[in-house]
Order: sequence, then C-alpha cells, then structure tokens
Amino acid sequence: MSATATTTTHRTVRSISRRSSARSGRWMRAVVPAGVIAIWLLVSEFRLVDPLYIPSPQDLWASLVSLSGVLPAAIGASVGMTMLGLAIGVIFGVGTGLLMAYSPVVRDLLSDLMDIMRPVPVFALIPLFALWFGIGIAPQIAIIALGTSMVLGVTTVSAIRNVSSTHVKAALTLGATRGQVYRTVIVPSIVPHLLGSIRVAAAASWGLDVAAEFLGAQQGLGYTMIVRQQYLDTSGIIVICLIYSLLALALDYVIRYLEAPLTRWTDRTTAGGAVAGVLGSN
Amino acid sequence: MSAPTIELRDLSLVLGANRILSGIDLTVQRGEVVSVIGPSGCGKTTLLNVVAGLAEGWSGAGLISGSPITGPGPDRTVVFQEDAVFPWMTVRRNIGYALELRKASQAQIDTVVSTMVDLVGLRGKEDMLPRQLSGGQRKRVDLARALAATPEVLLMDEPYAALDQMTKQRLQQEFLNAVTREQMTSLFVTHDLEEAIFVADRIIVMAAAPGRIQEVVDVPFDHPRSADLRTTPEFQDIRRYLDHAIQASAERQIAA
Repeated sequence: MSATATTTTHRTVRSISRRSSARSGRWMRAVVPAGVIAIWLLVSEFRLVDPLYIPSPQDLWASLVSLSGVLPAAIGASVGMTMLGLAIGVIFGVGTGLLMAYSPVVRDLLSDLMDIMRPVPVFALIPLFALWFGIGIAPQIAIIALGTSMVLGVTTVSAIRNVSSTHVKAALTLGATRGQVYRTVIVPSIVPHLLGSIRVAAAASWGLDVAAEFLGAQQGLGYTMIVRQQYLDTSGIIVICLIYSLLALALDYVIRYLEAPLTRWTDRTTAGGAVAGVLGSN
Repeated sequence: MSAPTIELRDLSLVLGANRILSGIDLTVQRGEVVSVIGPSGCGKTTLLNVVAGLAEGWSGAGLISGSPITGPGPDRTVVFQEDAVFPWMTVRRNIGYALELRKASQAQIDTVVSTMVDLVGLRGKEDMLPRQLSGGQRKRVDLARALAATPEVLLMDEPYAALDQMTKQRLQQEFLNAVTREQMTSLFVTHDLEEAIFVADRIIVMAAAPGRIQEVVDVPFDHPRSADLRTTPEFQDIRRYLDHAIQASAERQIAA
C-alpha cells in the first residue's frame, strides 16, 4: 500500500512539472506568430504599406470567397498530381534503392548514372520535360516523381548500409537465405529511416508541384496562382499559399499517423529527460 | 561411435601478413561444453566465427557431425556479445524466428516458443518488444532464439560480457541448466575465467600471434552445478592455474 502511495506521489510530481513546462512551452510558441499577426493587422489598418503588397485580412477573405468557385477543381488537380507523382517517386526510389543494395549488377549499372543525375537541380529539368512530354499533367507528374525518387533512392541505399551487421549475422546463422534476410531484417530495419525520408519527400513534392504548374499547366493551384498574379491579386496568391501549407501539413499529419505503428519498436518515442534536453523532444 | 559434433584439424587463417589462427586441432563430443579463453587478440572469436561459417579464407578441415563447414546455418546458432535480438519483433517472434524461416506450422512454432519461454524464464513477456526488456532479459531471448533452432552446436561469443556481475552469474546458471537439459553441445568464448570454469567441461587456453591452442584444462565438477561451486577451493585452484597460464602466454607474446 505504502509502495503504491509512493509511486503515485512520484508520478504526480513528475506530471505536474511536465505539465507546467508544457504550458510555458505553448506560451512561448504563441509569441512569435501572435506578434507577426499583430504587426500585419497594424500595417493593414493604418495603410502603412500599399495593399497591393500587403493586403488586409478582409482582402484575403474576399479573395477566398471569389476563388471559391475554382478552388475545389484546382485543389483536386494539384493534390491528384502531387499524390500520383509522390507515389511513383516513392515506389521507384525505394525500389531502385533496394535493388541496388540487393544486386551488385544493378548497383554497378545505376550508381554512376545516379551520381551524375543527383547534382542536377530537378527544377532545371522542367523546360526539358515540357518539351519531351508536351504541355499537360504528364511532365508535371514526371517532375514530382523524379524529384522525390532521387531523395528516396539515395536514402534507401544509405539506410541499408547502416543496417546492423550483427542482426544480419544472427539471421544468417539462424538459417535465413539472402532473400529472407532482406525481407525479415533489412526491410524492417530501414522502415523508420525510410518513413522519415518519405516525410521529407512529401514536403518537397508540393514545391515541385508548384514549380511544375508554373511552367505550363492548364489547371491546379499553381496555375491559378499565376493567373491571379497577372491580375495583381496579391491576396489571392496569399490565399493559395495558405492552402498549399494546409495541404502539406495535412499530408504530413497523415504520414505521421500511418507511421506510428510501424516505428513503435524504436527508442525514439522513449527519449526523455537529459537526452530530450539536448536533442529536443518530438 | 558417431562422428564428433565439432572436429577441427590443422585449422589456420592468414589475413595479409597476420597469422590469425595457426594449426588448431579441436574435437568436441556431443553434449560437451567447451570454453575458449585467452588474451585479447588471440583469435578466440575468429575461431568461433570459423565454426559459425561467418569467417572466410581459412584452411584445414572443419567438420560438424562429419559434414564440412561451408557457410552459416541453423545447425550452428550464435549468441553474440552485441545485442542481436531483432528490436522490431516481439519476444515471441524473435524466439520463433528460425522456425518461421523453415515455414513451420503456427502450432509447431507456438509449442516451441512456449517451451523456450519457460526454459529461459520469460513467461508473460511473449508479446513485449525488446526495448521493453532489460539487457539480461534480451540475452535470454537471444539464447531462447538460438536454442529454438535446435542446432547441433550452440556458439556463445562472449555473450554476457556487457552485463553486471549478478545478472551474469544468473544467466550462466540458466545457460548451464538449459544446455544440460537439452544435451546441447556448446563452444563458449569468454574472457571471464570464472565463467569459463563454471559453464564448461573442458577449457581451451589460447595464445596469441599466431592464435593457437596453448593448453587444454579439464573441469572435473559434476552437473548440476550451483553458484556455491565458485567459492570452493577446487574451483579457485583451477582459476589460479588459468590466471597463470594466460599471464605466461601474454608475457611470452610481449617478449617475442
């Protein structure tokens, strides 16, 4: 009984201290955004800057209302292209990485090509892709797929290189074939690392989508943005920027939600105390 | 009489200019536990890796129950010094891993896992992940996983070196109980002299540069052995003897 009481007390003390630090943390986090909004309101209220450059909140709202007719189709087109491009990029990038690590022949065939391709900025290929694939969604999806697959191919290879050799040796001595080592040791080992890279690639895919749409799209959010720019509709552009960031946040949230059960076995979630103090938690 | 479980004849391994192992002759009979000790760098882990099929470039004869060693296989499972338990699998799946690889039925796997869990005292922890276990418990999972493969030889590569003294002694006792019960043949590499004496029927003392067998010491104690054995004068006599043997071999190495 007394032991239970002691543990309860400990837990209470700890949870109180954690809660108070969380509360002060939330406070600190609100300071900068609140300041930025306050300055924005002041600037637009007193017309300190031409509304062409910094429109007021009311302007933003008005633009949102006027764009509401075209937005659903535009969001649908951009989300569709980005998701398709990202999916192709993930499958192609991870698949290439796995193949390169599995087969020395594939590695020899592809590694030089990859080393040459990697430093080429993906955005620089947009005009070339438009030339090759014409104007439409094909070159845009290709750009997103290429950009994301480059990131994932490289990280897959390096993740496999970092797999614990003890785990591989253990599997081999327990009777695993090469294929079984891949399936039961290498793939599960790299999953947490890979999911982290997929999150990075997913975030980058929106940027690739915007850039791809700037150069010859007939629909989508990026295309709408360019149209609004021609009308000098700053608030419309800002509204679309905000929609992009909401989409990116939503996608990141979905990936984090899906990855949780796959990365539960890592120590990552248990980092606390001094370690969290050095590394920062979350 | 059937072939010995481990038979090594004139085993050598040269790596560049270094002779890692030279002229090793070793025979281990079924059900025997043999410890391997020696100064660091004497090639005891390399010797174990040769038997495990994880080393390359050696010469001589290496036979397991009469068949030559060609690579790693489940007839020679290893408990490594490093943490080798798969962190993404539950205790249950870790222990059943070798059977899962052989496509054993789920009922078969369940039976073996259940037996092993009792053997190493992990009942009730089957569905936990390794990160929820202590270092000693993870070593128990590792041992259970190696035993569940029903190997011909259990290879122990300084398995308890990273543990505290109390956990270490308890695991040595458990290892001995499990091995005796399963009548397992084992090669146990360690640098802990008391551990070497406590678990083994025979001790191989190796010398370095080149790695070779300096001497073989028989351990006369009957089974089952209890922790009290460590404090008997007979045990301490062997310990002292081994201490001198290793000192001498290390000094010779420095002098050479």
